[in-house]
Amino acid sequence: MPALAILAHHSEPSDPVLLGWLVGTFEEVLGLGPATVVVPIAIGIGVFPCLLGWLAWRARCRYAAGASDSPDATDIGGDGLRAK
Amino acid sequence: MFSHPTTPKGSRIFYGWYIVGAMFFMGLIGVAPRQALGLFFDTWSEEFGVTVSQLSAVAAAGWLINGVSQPIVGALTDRFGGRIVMFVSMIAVGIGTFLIGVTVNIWTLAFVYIPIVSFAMSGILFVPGTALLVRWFKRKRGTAISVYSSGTSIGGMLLIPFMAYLLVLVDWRATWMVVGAAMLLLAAPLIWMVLRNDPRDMGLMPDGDPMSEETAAGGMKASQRQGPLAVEAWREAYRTPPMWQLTATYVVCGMTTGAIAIHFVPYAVSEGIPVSTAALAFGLLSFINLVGVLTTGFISDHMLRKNMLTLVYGVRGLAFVALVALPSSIGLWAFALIGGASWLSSVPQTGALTAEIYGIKRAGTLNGMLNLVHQVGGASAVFGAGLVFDLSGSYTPFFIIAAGTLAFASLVSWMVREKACSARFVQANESA
Repeated sequence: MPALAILAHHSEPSDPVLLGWLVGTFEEVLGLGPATVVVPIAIGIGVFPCLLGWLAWRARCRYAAGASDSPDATDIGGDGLRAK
Repeated sequence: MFSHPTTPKGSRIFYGWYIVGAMFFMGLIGVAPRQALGLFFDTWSEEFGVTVSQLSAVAAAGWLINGVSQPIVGALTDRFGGRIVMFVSMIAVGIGTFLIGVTVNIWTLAFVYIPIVSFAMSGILFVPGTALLVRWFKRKRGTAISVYSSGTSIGGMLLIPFMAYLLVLVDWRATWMVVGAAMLLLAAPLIWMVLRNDPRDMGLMPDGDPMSEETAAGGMKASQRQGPLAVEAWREAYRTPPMWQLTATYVVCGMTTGAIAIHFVPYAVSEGIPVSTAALAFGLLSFINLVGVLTTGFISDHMLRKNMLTLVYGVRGLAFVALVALPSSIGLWAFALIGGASWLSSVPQTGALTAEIYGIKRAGTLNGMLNLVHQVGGASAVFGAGLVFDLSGSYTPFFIIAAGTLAFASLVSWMVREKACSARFVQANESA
């Protein structure tokens, strides 16, 4: 075990003994092969940022639309505020 | 009368939460090079013809560089903003992670891992992230930083098995390249697309609050009220007691988490407990850690943060007492249950409290300094615990010392005069 292996902040480096045991137990209990673990995680890793990016983009569009929708609004100096 | 024009109809989610989501993903995928490195030691040992100790030296040097780089990244964040720092850092970590897949010997591995990956990793973890989130959240600061911090925990749970199984399916080179590509193609664009340095960049207020006449007239100063100890230069913070109190407690935090991360399983083995049982207990600790950080983050937004810190360090101290006082077969599980609840919880509390006392202008640098001392404490304790075991043949003396230092940290946290210093309770002009 590396003597300096936890200089990282609260991020325990993987212990090969621990991981070997976890992987072994997981396979033993669920009887799943590597692909059945890799594929769902890969899909999750791929989908999450795409979905989040799309939602954030939509939200920004709404904010922008909200800003320009007020017919009686007057810009008061570039910080996004309008006076009614 | 002023109204806020940018709260769209039908949108119930404050934009800051999208930022939290993007940073959660950044933490989730960004910890892979650090947490999964040990997975490849056996493979590299055979292929490069080196010992595990030599590979450990590379990892250790990387972690040292990571520690030293934290204040530098913090200062860069204060100067240029968190968005560009995190984007550039994610690109660098992604390139470095990809390049690990093409290394041909330990020297090329060291060249990629130490100055590129380890240095840049400071730019995607807690320091710039906390500095950015404190601008977006005031009342829900603890919750936001906790959700973001939990990304690194979930990343460890997901990516380590992912990389372990990918290693079985393909080879180690392709495994690193896949993760590096995910960082470059998914995480980096997400950061650039979603993150904004300040809510005012979008005409918003922290927490999504409506803009009042007062804040409209006062602009930035009104939207981010400062406490009486708010600083213009980071050195000023060290002339006041709270910074030293937070520093002292964070050193203890680093000492106690660092030593356990390395010595937990060896301790169990030294007590005659099977490695598999110790591993399971450590897994339980990691899971409870996730629940603990989210819960304490949320609760701390409704109480004094120094009281939550007092509780966190006190509970962790009790976990060490359980380890010493109970029979080892029971103490191990008691430690996992009690200690896990407090493991990562100190991070959001300390980050939020620092920003609330010293203001957001130097939040990056101050958090970087705190993270540096945390890691110095962790390194010292790793050596200290090993030394104690070598000299006495038992970890018990070290665990007693750890419990004592945690009691000290708990007391010091309680002594922070939050009501007199924090912008949550008192503003600069009121105290004058």
